[in-house]
Amino acid sequence: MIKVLLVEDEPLIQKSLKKLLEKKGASVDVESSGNGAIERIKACNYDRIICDLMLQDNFSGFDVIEESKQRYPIGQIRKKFIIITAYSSPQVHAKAEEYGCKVLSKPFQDNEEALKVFLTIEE
Amino acid sequence: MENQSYSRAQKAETNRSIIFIEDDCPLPVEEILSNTKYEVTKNKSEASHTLKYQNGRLFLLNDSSSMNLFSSGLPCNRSNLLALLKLIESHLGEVSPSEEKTNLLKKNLTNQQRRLLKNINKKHLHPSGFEDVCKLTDEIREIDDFYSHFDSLHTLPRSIIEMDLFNGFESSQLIVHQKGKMFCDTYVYQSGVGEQHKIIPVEGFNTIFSLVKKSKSKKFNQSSLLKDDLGVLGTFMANVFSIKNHDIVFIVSQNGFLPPTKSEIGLFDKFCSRMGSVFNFLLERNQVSEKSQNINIFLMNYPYAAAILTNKDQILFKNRLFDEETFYDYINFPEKFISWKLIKDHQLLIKKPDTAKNISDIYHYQRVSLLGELLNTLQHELSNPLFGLKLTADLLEGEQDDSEVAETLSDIANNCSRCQGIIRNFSYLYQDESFTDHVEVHSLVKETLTLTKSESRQILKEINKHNLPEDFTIETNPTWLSQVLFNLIVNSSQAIKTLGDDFKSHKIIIDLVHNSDAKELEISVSDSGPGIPEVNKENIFTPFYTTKDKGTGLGLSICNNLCHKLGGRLNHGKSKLGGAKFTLIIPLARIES
Repeated sequence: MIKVLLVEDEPLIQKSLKKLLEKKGASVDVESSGNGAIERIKACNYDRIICDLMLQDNFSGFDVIEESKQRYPIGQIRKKFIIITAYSSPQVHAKAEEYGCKVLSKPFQDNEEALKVFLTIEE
Repeated sequence: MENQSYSRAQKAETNRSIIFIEDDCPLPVEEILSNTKYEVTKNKSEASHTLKYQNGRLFLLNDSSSMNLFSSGLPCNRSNLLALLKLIESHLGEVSPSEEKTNLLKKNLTNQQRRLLKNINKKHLHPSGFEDVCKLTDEIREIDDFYSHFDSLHTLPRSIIEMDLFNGFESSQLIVHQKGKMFCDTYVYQSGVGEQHKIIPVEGFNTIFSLVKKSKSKKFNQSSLLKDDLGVLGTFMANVFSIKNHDIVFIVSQNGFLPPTKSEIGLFDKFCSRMGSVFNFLLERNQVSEKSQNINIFLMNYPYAAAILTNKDQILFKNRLFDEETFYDYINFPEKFISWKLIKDHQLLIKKPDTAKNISDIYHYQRVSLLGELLNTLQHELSNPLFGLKLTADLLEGEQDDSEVAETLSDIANNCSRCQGIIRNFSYLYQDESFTDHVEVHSLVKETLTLTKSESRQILKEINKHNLPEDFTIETNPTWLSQVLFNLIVNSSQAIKTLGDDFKSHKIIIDLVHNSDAKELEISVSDSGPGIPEVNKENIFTPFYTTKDKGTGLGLSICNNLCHKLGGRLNHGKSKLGGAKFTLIIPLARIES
């Protein structure tokens, strides 16, 4: 079973995305704050971390990635993290490219397609 | 050889310094030295020192057969011979010039030089007092043309290597960093290669600067500073200066790997003690020229005609917009210009802007930037919750057995998507910058119609296409195009509303015509309103001209302006529907469909 951490502060997105992912057979932990996400990442080994960029506690998704570097080498970070954002600007994409992470814009064009991306783990 | 050295030793014992003056010295050195304890000789071999005059400088060489300089070349002319005298004294011993000589010299001095002399006499000069003299001469630039050797920071390294003082040195480098800047300028001169100017990042500079600053010996070699930013080779001597908000690293190198000798280091140190004021002088000059350059660029690109005139109305400087016509305009109507007095009775002239064009520009800009900001916030703040709603509705719909509830959930999801779309389109149409894009004309018109909904409610609207495929695309600025259409449609709606409450019989028709012969796209907005009264026709594009109670009088002025910016034009006339018809004509030179 794929172990997913979903970091997202919009409650409706958090709840429904968790359900949708669980329907596809993943086990999902959710987190609203950047700080909490970092704690979880340190404590638990996730196969996939889906991370919103703007979080409530002034942590950006990139800060979460930066902190995760303590635990995972950059090659692993590239495979584990997927960034979801409502404000996909060229700058965001450029920065995500630095880490090598995928970026999905909210709203998703196609929910099924997005779920597929979330649950495909590169070996 | 033996005889010579013996005789020199003997002379030294008698405590008299024998100076050989090279023939080409144009200064009356001999005369000055005649009543002193110095002995002037014509025989080079019996002298203990040689006075050498070169390029306006005097050098005192301590051994006639060796070129080992021990004094910095002092710039020399008749007026600062006294300083020269002191220089010789300080090196050769306790001898002072006769009172008589000094008085003789004093007669020919300016006040300032007399002050200097007083200072020199007050100072107790001992054999190592060379620096004191140097400092004093530094104080008065007028008689010290030391500075004249250095034109600018660019040429400074070359000037230094070309100085006799640095005979044997091959390269010199200056790295100048203005505090707070991310980059610094480096000026390198390599004999045989030439001058080079580069911009380097401040990180490299910081390493070099702090290393040189901390070092006591001031000698380095490349291996301790393996940096690409370094323009010199081998072992080098360096010093740092902090002047006027600038940090400077100054480097000279012989391009060899032998360390510099003690005397060379001493020489370098003495030289550096004078360089502070030189840098100060050059930086000041640099700043002045930078300033005037900036002013030049500013005026050159100033959006209105600008010129600098002398008091006789000769043009010293003019920017691109200041043509001959502007000049005659100024002669005939000086009130159209703003003028500032400058030094030397020059004046700066700037043509007063054409208010009509500017006001509509400014209002348009304000409107777009305000709306753009607002829409950005909306997009940021609404997108996320809307997406949450949609995702939840999608999820629940899939789990729902009751078909009626499922349908409602589907409606919620669709409405969320529609809201997202509207926000996205609005932000696209109100981007706060001038950009061009491939724009599908038909959908842009449709989106703009959506934007006008609150104003044009209940009025029938039609879009007709003539000779235009559904996905006809032009390259244009969508914000401006949509702005023009928005204004025209709102105007039509407001005009119709003045006719009474029954809007349903009224119509606004938007015709999209591809005129392939003229290679133009026509977009016209026709309405069944009252039309434009004859008296107002002339003024419809004048800013602040309005017939509405709450109008700004800027709408059409902005439209007209934007059409010009789009490379097109805006015509108006009577519509077949009985009201007004505005036609926006855009040339399709860059058509890509």
